[in-house]
Amino acid sequence: MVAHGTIAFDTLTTSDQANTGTEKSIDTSYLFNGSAKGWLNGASDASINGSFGFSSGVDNGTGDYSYNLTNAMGSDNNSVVNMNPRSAQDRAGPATFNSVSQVLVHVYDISSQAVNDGGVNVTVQGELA
Amino acid sequence: MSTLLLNTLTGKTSAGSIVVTGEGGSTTTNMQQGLAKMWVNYTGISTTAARDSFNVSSLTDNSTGRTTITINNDMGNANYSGYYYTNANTGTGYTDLNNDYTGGFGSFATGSCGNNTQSGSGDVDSYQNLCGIFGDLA
Repeated sequence: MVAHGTIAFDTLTTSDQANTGTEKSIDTSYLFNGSAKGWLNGASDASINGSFGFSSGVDNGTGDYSYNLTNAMGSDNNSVVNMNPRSAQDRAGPATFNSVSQVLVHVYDISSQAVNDGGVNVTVQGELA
Repeated sequence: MSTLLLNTLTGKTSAGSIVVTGEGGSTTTNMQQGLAKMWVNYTGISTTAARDSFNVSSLTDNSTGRTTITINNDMGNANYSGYYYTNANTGTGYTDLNNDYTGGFGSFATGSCGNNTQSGSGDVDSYQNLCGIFGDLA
């Protein structure tokens, strides 16, 4: 094993011989562009159970949450997705960027009434600033 | 150096942490934390079965609209995140949607997660199910 603190390279090639006998390569730009820049598992009071790339959550009111990103995105034209577990039937929790550094989640029930939900699951993909 | 040929990447300072630098040349992110730890594309019609997957050992049809995905290499805890899309419809097209559909995670465990699918008329098996998770591997 050779240990280096930093190495610069453009392509990563793996010998996938056990499965296919065919080498597979990936451009290293995919390692950065293809990696999620943030994910979080949030509670009903906006506290964060587990996360990467998020620094804090704020409870703005019933079903109204905001989450601050540790590192700002390059723009608010990236992808953000929220899934709420079906802890109750017919809930939806769309997520949007409020800014390059903050994600908003609003949870509603089937009657379009805001509702707290203990299963916020946000993932962020795209380019960091 | 333009190409590295290898089978395993391991952090030097911390085995489970490798930093990658973005196109701008300055911003960095953690490679392990950003990688999807599981993904699966499956049908819940008739016999629940994966079309393709990564780090999934099996799918269990618990009941109508209820599926358990068993993770091959377990997560380190149950506080992971992810996404789940379903068309909540037996139709085979991505545009075959129930207007009142909903689907989401029903459970999180280190070795599995549960997906629930429902339309306005109750739990429903669906043709399109796309799921992935992010978090810490054990």
